[in-house]
Amino acid sequence: MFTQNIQELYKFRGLLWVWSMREIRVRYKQSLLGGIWAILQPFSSMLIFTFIFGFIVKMPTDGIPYPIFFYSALLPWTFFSSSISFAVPSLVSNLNLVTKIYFPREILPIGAVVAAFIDFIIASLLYIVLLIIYQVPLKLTLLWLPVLIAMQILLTFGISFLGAALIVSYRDIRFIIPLGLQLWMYLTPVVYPFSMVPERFRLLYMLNPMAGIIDSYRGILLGRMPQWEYLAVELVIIVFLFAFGYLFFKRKEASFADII
Amino acid sequence: MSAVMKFESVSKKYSLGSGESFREMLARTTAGILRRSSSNPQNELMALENVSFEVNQGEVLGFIGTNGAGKTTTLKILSKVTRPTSGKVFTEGRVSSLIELGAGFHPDLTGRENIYLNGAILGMERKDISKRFDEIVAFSEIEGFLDTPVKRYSSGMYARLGFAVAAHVSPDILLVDEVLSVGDEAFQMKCRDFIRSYIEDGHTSIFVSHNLYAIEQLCDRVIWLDKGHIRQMGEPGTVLREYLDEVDKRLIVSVPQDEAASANRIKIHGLEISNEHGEVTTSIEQNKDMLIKVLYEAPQRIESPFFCIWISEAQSGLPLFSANMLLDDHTIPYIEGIGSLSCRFNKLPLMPKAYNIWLEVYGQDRAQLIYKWNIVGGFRILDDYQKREFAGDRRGEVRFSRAHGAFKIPYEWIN
Repeated sequence: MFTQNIQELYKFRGLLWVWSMREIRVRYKQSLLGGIWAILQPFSSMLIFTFIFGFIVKMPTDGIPYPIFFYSALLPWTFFSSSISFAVPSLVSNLNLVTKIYFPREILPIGAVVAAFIDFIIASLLYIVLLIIYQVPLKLTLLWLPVLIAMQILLTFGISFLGAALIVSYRDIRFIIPLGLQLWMYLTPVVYPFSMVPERFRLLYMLNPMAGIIDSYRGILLGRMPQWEYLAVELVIIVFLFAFGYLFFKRKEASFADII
Repeated sequence: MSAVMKFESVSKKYSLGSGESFREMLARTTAGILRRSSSNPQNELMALENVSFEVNQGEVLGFIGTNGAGKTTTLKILSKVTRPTSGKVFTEGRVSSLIELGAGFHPDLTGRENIYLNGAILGMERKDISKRFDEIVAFSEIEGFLDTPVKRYSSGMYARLGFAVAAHVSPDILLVDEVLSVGDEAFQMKCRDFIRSYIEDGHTSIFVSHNLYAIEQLCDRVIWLDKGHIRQMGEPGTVLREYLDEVDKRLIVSVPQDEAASANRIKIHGLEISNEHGEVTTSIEQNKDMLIKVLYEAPQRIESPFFCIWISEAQSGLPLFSANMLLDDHTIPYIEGIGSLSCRFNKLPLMPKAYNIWLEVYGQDRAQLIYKWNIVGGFRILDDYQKREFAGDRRGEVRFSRAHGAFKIPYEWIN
């Protein structure tokens, strides 16, 4: 079944590409700043966090300059949260297509994630600028970056498939998402360093796959190796979530057009 | 000939209602742990039940049936949008549908962007779209608006572009559903010509329409669906004739009686229609007399009223002719209480199909409406096809004469 699905998806790769482009175009159509919003979103969050958690709360950052500290986590986190918030409702918001034309339905959530990924790349340009400004030397540990991104994307797909399949029947998901993402962010070392998490909670804490990923994004920048024993456990969780999400999605796919 | 599409005892069940909420789902799952709950049959609808048919290579198959007969569900299953609840479906080759045109358009994107987007959604490769781009633009007649967002298009332009993209996908099997009603007359003609030439090129097609004339002209075979079952399947002339007989009967039985117009100063209790032998019936033979008797009740005395009886084609609603006292300058002295008024139509030269009877009554001064224009009854002209079946080529002769106009006027060819 799995290979059959992949074959089908491969047949529709042209549509996947066009659909992703559509997602990006549509997002910035009729907006003055266009693609600059991709940078402005994490950038403005970074400014706010720097002001509140940096200058007011005086959050310890393991010696990393505040803007770099926050941006290094906000960048992947924004990618994650915007993927989820676009991918989960993607079937419902394209009801017209789902009820009328056949194509592998996973193209819609995947397209949303691809579009968010392009935003992520654009926003990364600012990161490079920040690294130059703060004269952060490049370390070899940065080679871990593709692994982290791959893990994150796999996790994003898993959750997106699950959410997109569920929201077709249960619109409650729409309200759960912003709430859930907010909560999730505070369970992830975005505004605080991992080192602040009490020792005895760490194992439990690291069951959140995003926790290890975000912490590693920050760590590899400073030449610290990722905590691979945590990452390994998270990888297992991620693969499981992905497989479960995808199979659930494909199982439900046949009924989407009927109940949406 | 080989089948390129096959339905094997296909059934499709829809559950009605708005679907359960998250809370209901939680309640159900918890209940489900204790005992397996059975589905509620009252909330279910069988859109198709045990339907089997085949479509051969190069064949054009038509579907007819009233609303809710399962035509659209059949197309949705064929186009893989939905899957059957039970039974098997087999299709070979690329299926494309002219079902919902422009469904994949995004209002904010330009015409150009939408052509690529919609083409991809319909399964075209980018290079195919580029190759046929000019054809699509020319067909849709939107040259000057390619870089305008489609939300600024008129609905006609939108539909034209939708058709143009869908028409250039060049599928192996084409599904057509009621699309001929897009755009203006000229564009509809263009669409019809396009579909016709496509079909005549030997492409396999499946055609769903309420336009029986188009069905008869284009299809090799017709399936009549009725409440999710195949009622009849076969040669178009035969199936359409029986279908129309049934539709005619239903049209007459279900005549709406809208007495809501309280301004009416008389009440119509009904019509009595009788044939030339004086038998009360709603089935009249062609070229025979018909007597319409209007049963009314006038609570107050009305001086010299003018009655107008109109006959219209039931399916199209097109008014055909009238017996009109205003034009005849004819009136009756007065009406009061319960009474009746009759009018005889001689040698009805009507084609065999269903007709409606409309009534309108004016007061003495000819401007005051006493009974507002309303359908008060209907009748049908019986087909004398039994007689005609012996005359010449059956298929050519009998084929569905009722689509060809409403009147039968005697004529002769002069060489």
